[in-house]
Amino acid sequence: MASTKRQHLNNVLIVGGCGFLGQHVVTLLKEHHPECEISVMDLRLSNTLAGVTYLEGDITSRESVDSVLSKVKPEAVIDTVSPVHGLGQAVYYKVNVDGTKVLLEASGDAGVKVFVFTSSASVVFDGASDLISVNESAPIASPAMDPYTETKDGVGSQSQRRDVYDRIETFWTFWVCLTPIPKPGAENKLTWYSLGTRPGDRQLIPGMLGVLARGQTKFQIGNNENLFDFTYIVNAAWAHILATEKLIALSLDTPKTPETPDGETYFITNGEPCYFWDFPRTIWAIRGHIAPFHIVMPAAVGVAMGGAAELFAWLLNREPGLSRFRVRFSCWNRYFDIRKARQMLGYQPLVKLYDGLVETLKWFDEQEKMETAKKGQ
Amino acid sequence: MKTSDILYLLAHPNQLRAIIQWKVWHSPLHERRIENESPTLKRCFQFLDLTSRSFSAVIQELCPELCVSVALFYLILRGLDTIEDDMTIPLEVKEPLLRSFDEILDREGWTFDGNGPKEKDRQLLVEFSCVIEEFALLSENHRVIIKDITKKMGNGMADYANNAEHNVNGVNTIADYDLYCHYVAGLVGDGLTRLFVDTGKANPALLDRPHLINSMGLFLQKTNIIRDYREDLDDKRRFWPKEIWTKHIEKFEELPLPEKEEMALNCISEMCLNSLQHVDECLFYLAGIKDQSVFNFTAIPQVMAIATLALVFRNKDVFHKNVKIPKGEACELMIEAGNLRSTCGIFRKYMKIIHKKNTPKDPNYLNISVTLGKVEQFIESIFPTPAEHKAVAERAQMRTAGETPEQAAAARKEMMFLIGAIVATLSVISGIMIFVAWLMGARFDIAFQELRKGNFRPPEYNPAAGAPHGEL
Repeated sequence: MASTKRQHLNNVLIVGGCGFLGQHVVTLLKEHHPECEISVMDLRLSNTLAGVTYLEGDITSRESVDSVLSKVKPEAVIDTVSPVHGLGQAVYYKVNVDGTKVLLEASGDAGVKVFVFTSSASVVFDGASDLISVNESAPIASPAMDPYTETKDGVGSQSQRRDVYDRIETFWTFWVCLTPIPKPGAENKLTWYSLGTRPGDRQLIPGMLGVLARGQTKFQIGNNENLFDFTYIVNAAWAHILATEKLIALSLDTPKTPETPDGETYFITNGEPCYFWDFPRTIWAIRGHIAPFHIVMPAAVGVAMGGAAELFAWLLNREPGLSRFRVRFSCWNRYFDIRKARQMLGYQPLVKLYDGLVETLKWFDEQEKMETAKKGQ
Repeated sequence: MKTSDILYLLAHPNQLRAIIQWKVWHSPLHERRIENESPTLKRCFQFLDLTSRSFSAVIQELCPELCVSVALFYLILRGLDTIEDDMTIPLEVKEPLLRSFDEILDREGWTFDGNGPKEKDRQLLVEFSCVIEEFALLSENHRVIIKDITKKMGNGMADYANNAEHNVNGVNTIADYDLYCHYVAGLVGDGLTRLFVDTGKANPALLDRPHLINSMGLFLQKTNIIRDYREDLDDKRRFWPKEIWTKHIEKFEELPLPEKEEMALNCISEMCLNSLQHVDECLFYLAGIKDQSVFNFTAIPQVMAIATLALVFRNKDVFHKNVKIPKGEACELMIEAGNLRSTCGIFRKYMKIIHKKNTPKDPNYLNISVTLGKVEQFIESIFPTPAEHKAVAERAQMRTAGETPEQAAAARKEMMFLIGAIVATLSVISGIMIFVAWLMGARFDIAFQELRKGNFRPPEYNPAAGAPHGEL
C-alpha cells in the first residue's frame, strides 16, 4: 500500500460509473474514502450503490455534461467510459473522441482540478507484433488495430478494423494505460489520463471454460514460452483511485517536472506476467480438471487449423470456434512493464492474480447456479 | 570414478567434452604466487583445499587484492562453524567462544583443540594460529569487515545454539527460515560485497541495497537446504520451515513415503518457489560486479544453484538420496558463466526446465509461473529483445544489400513487372499458335480425348493398318 494515511478526497465524479470498470472504481472509492462525496454519471443507470449519487448524462452532449457538472461540482472527474464492443466506427469516434473532448472541456470550464482518463493498452498494439515488457514510451500503433483502439487514445487519428477487436476481446485483458493527450487550455491545470480496460471478463473466462466443457484442454498451440499479462479488474480500479489521490495532492501551480505524476500515461496490469497456457490450465485446475498430457502443436499448424476452421465457419455461416487470429494471439508475448505506475502512483496490486482468478470463478459458479435455478422454476 | 559415471558420460558426450575442455583448456584468470608466500599462508591454502575443494578453486582464482582476504574470511567462518557444529562441546564452553570469536582473531597464537575427534575440520582449529597470523597482515579495512561479520555470525550462532526450540523442532515460520538463512549465508554475502566494494571490484551502490546481497546468499542456502533433505533428516535436523511443509503433510519424516508422493512433490515445489523468489535479485546483484574474477566467483555458485534447483524441482529422489548435478554439467556451467548475458542465458535454460516440470496438479502452479515470468521480465529489462524485428531486419538488409527497404521494394516491383511481361508475351504467342493451328483444322478435341485415355504419344505409323488404303 502506498501510504497508511490516505489523501483526503472531497467530491469525485465517475463518468461511466455503472460500467464494469466504473462500478469497481465506485466500490473501492466508497471503501477507502468514506469521507468523499461520490457521484456517477452514465448513459443508463444500473447496478446502483447506496450512498452514491447517480445522474443520467451523455458525454457527447455538452448541455448534458454541463448540467451534471453544475449539480455535482466535482474536484475530480474519473472518465471510465467505454462503449461496449460490436458497435460501428461512428459510435466509437463519437464517444471516444468527441465525447472525451466534450467532457474534458466542460470539466475545465467547470473548474475541475483533476481528470483521470481510462484508455486501453491496445493503443500500442498493432495487432501483429509481440508486446515484450512494453512501457509507456511505446509508440501508439499505426495503423490502429481497430476503431475502438484507434479512438481510445482520445485523439482519434486513425481509422477502421472492428472485427479484430471483437476477437481480441474474447480474451480477458483489462489493462489500463494512460495516454497523454495535449492539454486543452494551458491556463487550466487539467490533467489527462487515459487508462484502458476491457470489459472482457465476460469473454475470456467463459471462453476458457468453454474449452474445458468441450474437452479440448489437452491441446497446446505454440511452445508456451510466451508471457502474458492479465489484470484483475479491482487492481485496475485501484490505480484510478491512486492517480486521483496523487493529483489532488498537487497544487495547481506546481510546475510540471518528470517527477510529478500529472499529465502522464501509466500502464496498469497485475504485474504478474505468466506463460500463456498456464493461465487457462489454472482455471481448469481450480474447476478440478487437469489434462493428463498435452498435445503441443507448432504455431504454424495452429494457424493452418484456424484458417480451416474459419473457412468452414464461413461456409456454414457460423461463428468460428478457432481462428487464425486467436491462434496467433495465444502465441504472442503480451506483457507490460509497470514500474512507472509503481514508482509514481505507488501502485501495488490489491489482489494477486491467483486470488483474483479464484474470486472470478466463484462469481461464475454463482451465476451458473442462479441460471439453473431460474430454468428450474 | 564409478562405472555408472563413465556410462553416464558416454551417454552425454557434451558433458564429457565440457570436462575435458575444462581440464585441458581452463587457465585461471589469476594465479597465486606460491614462491612469494609465507609458510603460514601456504598452510592456510592447504586448509582451504581440505575444507572445501569446490570453493578453494574459485577463491584461488580471485584477483590478488582479494584472494588472501577471501580465503582467510572463509577459513575463519569455517572455524566458527566447526565449533558450532560440534555437539561434543558443552554449551557453556561453546557460547562464549562463538560470541567472542571476532576478538580471538586478534589473539596471536590462539588455537583450539576442544573439538571431538570426529569433527572433520578439527585440525584447522588446532593450527588456527596460522590463520590469525595471516589475518593480522591484511589491510585495516578488510580486517574490520571480516571481524564485523564474524561477530554478527558468532552471535547469531550462539543464539541458535541457545534456542532449544530451534534445536528440537527446527525452523518454524518462513520469516524464521529467512532469518536463519541470513545468518548462515546472507551475512557472508554482506562481508564479501564489502570486500569487493573496498577493492573497487563492485559497484558501491550494492551496499545501499542490502536485500540484493541477502538474496545472493539466501538463494544458495535455500537451494542447498532443499537438496539436503535426506542428509539433514538422517542427522535429525530440519531446516524446511514448518509453515510450508504442514500445508502438504502432517509429519516431516513422512515426505519420502510412496503413498504421500503427490503431497511431497507439492511440498518440494513450494520450497523451490520460495527459493526462486530471490532469482531476479541475484541477477540484479551480478550486474553490479565490475571485475571478471569476482564475477566468476559470485556467478558460478549461482548458476550451480539454479541448475540444482531445476534438478530437485518435483524430484522425489530428494527424499531418498543426495541428488547432485553431474560433474560434466558443472563444468559446462563453469565454462559458460563468463558474463551477465551468458549467466542470464543459463538461468533461462534452467527456468525452462522448471517451467516444463511445473504441473497444474500443484496448488502453486500459477505462482511458480508468475515467479518465472518475473525473472524473465527482469532479464528482458537488462537485455531487451530488439523492439522491432522488422526494423532490425531492415537494418540488416541495408547492411548486406546496401539498399533501403524502399529501394528493395521498388526493385522487387520491377522484377515482378518483368516476369509479368515475359509471361504475357509467351501466352500471347502460344495463343496465336494454337489459334492458327485450330484455323488450319487441328482437332484439339480428339487430342484431349486421347490424352484422357492416357495415350500421350501419337499412334505409331502402322503400314498393315493402312493396307485398305492400298486400294486407292
